[in-house]
Amino acid sequence: MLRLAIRNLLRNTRRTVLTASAIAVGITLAIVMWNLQVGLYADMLSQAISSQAGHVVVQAEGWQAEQDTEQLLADASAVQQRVTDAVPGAVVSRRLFVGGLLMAPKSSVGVALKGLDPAVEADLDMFDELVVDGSWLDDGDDRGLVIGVKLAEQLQVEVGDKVVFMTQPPGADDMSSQLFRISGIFRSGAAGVDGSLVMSTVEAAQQAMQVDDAVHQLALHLDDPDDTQKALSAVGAAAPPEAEVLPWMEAVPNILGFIDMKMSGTHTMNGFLLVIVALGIVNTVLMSVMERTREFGVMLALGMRPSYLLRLLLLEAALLGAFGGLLGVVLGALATYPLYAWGLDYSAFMGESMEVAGVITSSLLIATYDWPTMFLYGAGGIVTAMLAALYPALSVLRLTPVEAMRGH
Amino acid sequence: MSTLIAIAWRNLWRHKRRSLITATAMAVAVAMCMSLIAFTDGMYGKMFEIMVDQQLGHVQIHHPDYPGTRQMVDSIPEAEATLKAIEGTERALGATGRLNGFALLGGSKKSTGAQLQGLEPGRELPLTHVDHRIVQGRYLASDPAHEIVLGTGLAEELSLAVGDEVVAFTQSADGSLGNDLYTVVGLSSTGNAAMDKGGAWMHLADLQELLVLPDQVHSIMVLSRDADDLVAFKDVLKGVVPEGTEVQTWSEASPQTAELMGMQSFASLFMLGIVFAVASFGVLNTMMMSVFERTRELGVLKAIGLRPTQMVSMVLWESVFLAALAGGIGLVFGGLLDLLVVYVGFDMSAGSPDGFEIMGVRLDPIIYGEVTPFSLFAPISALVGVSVLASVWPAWRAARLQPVEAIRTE
Amino acid sequence: MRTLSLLWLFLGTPALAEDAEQAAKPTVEELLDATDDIQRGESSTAVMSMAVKTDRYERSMKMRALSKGEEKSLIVILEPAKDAGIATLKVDDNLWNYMPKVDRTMKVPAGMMSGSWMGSHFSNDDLVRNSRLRDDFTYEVTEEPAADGTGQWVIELVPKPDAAVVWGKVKVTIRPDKIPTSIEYFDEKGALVRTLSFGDIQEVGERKVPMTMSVVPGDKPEEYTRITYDELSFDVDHDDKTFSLQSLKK
Repeated sequence: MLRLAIRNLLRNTRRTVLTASAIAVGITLAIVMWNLQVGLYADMLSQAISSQAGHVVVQAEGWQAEQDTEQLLADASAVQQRVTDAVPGAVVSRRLFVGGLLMAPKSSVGVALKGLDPAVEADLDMFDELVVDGSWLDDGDDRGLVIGVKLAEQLQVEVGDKVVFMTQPPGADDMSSQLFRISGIFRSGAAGVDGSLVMSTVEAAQQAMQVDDAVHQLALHLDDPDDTQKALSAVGAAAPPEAEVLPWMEAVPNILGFIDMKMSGTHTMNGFLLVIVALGIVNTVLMSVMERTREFGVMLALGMRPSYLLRLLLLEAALLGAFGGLLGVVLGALATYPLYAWGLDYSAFMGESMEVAGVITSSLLIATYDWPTMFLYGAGGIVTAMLAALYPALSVLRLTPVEAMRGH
Repeated sequence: MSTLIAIAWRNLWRHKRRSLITATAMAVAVAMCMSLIAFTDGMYGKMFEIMVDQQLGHVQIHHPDYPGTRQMVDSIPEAEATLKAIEGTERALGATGRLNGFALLGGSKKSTGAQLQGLEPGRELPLTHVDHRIVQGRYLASDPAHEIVLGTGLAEELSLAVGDEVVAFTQSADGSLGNDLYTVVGLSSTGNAAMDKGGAWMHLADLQELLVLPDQVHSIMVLSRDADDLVAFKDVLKGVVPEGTEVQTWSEASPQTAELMGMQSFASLFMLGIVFAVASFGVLNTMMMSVFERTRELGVLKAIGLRPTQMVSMVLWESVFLAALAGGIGLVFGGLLDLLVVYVGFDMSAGSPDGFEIMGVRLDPIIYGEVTPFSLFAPISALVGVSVLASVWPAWRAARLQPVEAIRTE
Repeated sequence: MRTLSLLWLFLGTPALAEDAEQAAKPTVEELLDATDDIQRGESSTAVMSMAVKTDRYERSMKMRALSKGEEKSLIVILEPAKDAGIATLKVDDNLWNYMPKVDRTMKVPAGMMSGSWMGSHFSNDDLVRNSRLRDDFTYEVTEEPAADGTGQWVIELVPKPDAAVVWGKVKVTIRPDKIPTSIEYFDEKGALVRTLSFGDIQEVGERKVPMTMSVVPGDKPEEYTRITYDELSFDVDHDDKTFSLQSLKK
């Protein structure tokens, strides 16, 4: 049957090719759109995970819900050591958050200080790339401070200037004051962040809070997000019992929901696209079937079962669809390439970075090659073609052999 | 010529089934485009509404230094008289004045710094309907009564609920220390993330009293009866405001918003492009087929004297009619889908129950579509255009047929 | 430099003035201490007037100030009538404001410390800042009084590398009898950011105290905040309970 189907298709090459291309074009477009979206959302997700949490996080109990400064994870270095031993190959970052007043000679502003590990964070999120003046923090530079562009304007300070951070350590009566020098100024595009987020080393933040070896969050970053479950149990065993250990799905739930929703929206639209393609090619398939009505009539009269004929027609359609699908995948892969190598640059609209659902991502959208889905869409071509063939096939089968032989 | 057109029309109906199938495909494309555009228009429209209608207005009036310095004293004097004068102009739909301040706001448990905005419900509500954004309690009364509405985030931070009292402590414009007590009458979620997290609203007169800025406002937002030619409107207003006050259209006041809205047109066009690229292949397919199928017939026509140009126009007319037919069907389907999108809305709350935030604007999870003339007619026009374009090659081929060979074709 | 603590400082300058005439040339440390002023358990009561002139308004206020030790103080506004009764309570590094019109107290959170105190050129954090001239700075004496007792001390101080101080340089001018006359604050680029001046030295109890202090911002020299003592007495026995939230609501 296969040979018969192939021969049938090849009888009118021009038509076959045209129809297959129609399918291919639809699939190509669907693939390009999908790859772009995947690129964007994968980037968003990994930004959110890296900057707000980790694949697995260890925190003081209740911190996820309340984010109270006093909810500290004690003996942080010991816990960090145990966690690192438990999951070899993972990168562990420490974070500490303090609110207070940043004072400069001419002015002062309330800010949120984030203590972190500079070298580790440079790999994890994009703040080091957003520095427009000066440079990112160095490990061990406990006097360094990176502030946003709006804040620098308000305080009237530049890179190298002195500022003093003042806060009330938890449980203390006296305020603590700490000297910093501006190492770098960043611009994220998100006004709230540019005006109030400042970053220092963990040690510096610990000094400000007058705590020894405590942090708010120990975040574990894995190479492969699929290892999360395994890491989760390993970390759970290594962490102190009173701490909460969460996987990223629970640590940044909002992002996940947002992304899921956007992705299913894209799938839906791509589905519609293929429906349009199917409708578009029904005619060609119909024509190819109608042309051979007489021939089918003869075959039926000679004893071919109608079900066989149906299957033959569907097989033809499937092959057509497979060819179109394959073509579509190849073209789609090619079309994705420029978006993968150079990306889609939105920075004219949005500036260097943009903020979506609370996450700061780059304005340069880079596509990813999501091969599984690409082949899925390719296979969708088969379904499309078969759908298109349904009506023509059924309408031929409704004829009696005699009518068929007489021609339509 | 008209004979040609009649022939074209009848050609279409000679292959009823084929024509109808193609028409359906194109109709689906049109309907889908219409509803997708309605959806995006709805989403961007909402963002636009929040940014422009609620905050920027069509035209904005303020002290020239105010946007840069945000100093309390850079205000518009004689506010009441100015507002009345603006309302008196022909094009003004309405105007509302706003006063901004910063104060230490405290409940019984905690205090924190908050942005205060004073406005007059009587003027504000008909224009911006901010009372619709109340999530608990009610909006301010039209007369000053020491009431306050808190942003939901602020209420949470201060552990305050409707009915609680709040103390405000601030430095007034004359240097004295303003302080007063207010009753929380409602909590609001306006979509402006900054205000929802750290802002509160009170009656203009109450805030003027607290800040010692009698009859002054920091900005006046004016909505025009129509959104066209705002520059002309701006010039009219310049004549009625106090000397030295600055009048700006919303795109002058906030170029970033203008850019963001530019993205909206971009998004719609992009979608139109994609859908029609796909649909055009269907048309191409069909047209090619129809020409090849009728090779013999077309050859005969040529033999009896139909000129190439007439051949071309015949084929093109066929596709125009086809497109028009498809467009008609599509309009009906699309119209139904539009009704669905506009009135029932698209519910995205499965993914983000609280809605989501883009560029500082918070959107509800249920997005309602918006139908504009563009969304109704652009898809159809695009369809006709695409169909004609897709038929050019088949038409050209038809024109080039050699009569004798064509007739000889099987 | 605890700048506004100079306010509290007024309420008890140590009794060095007497010794000065007889003692040998004082050491720089003693001079710095004199300027810093450790309260050493002084307590006092005072009535002060404060005049503020900015490019936007001019105001006068009258206040009563009570202090006990270095850590507790209470300032209550007496005039003008609109603000009368508003009080600021400081206990250790915590600040509260009390408003009689609404009969409520509010704690000043760390983030609001930059706000100006009572509309003056002082800020809330001036009240609680915690550095000492002697400990946090290295100094150089650039001028000394002549042997006949005329002239003045001028000491230039540069913050130590790790000190939590925003200034680049502080210049202190002190009279031969160890009473400071002015303190100038410069940022690291050398621009004068603010000047504190003291004047009208009088004897109160056993001490010599400047009865006037003013602050002038470096970039707007026509503005000022001037504080003058109308009444001042030391070693008053205040009850600890006076410095509490409850007693505010009297």
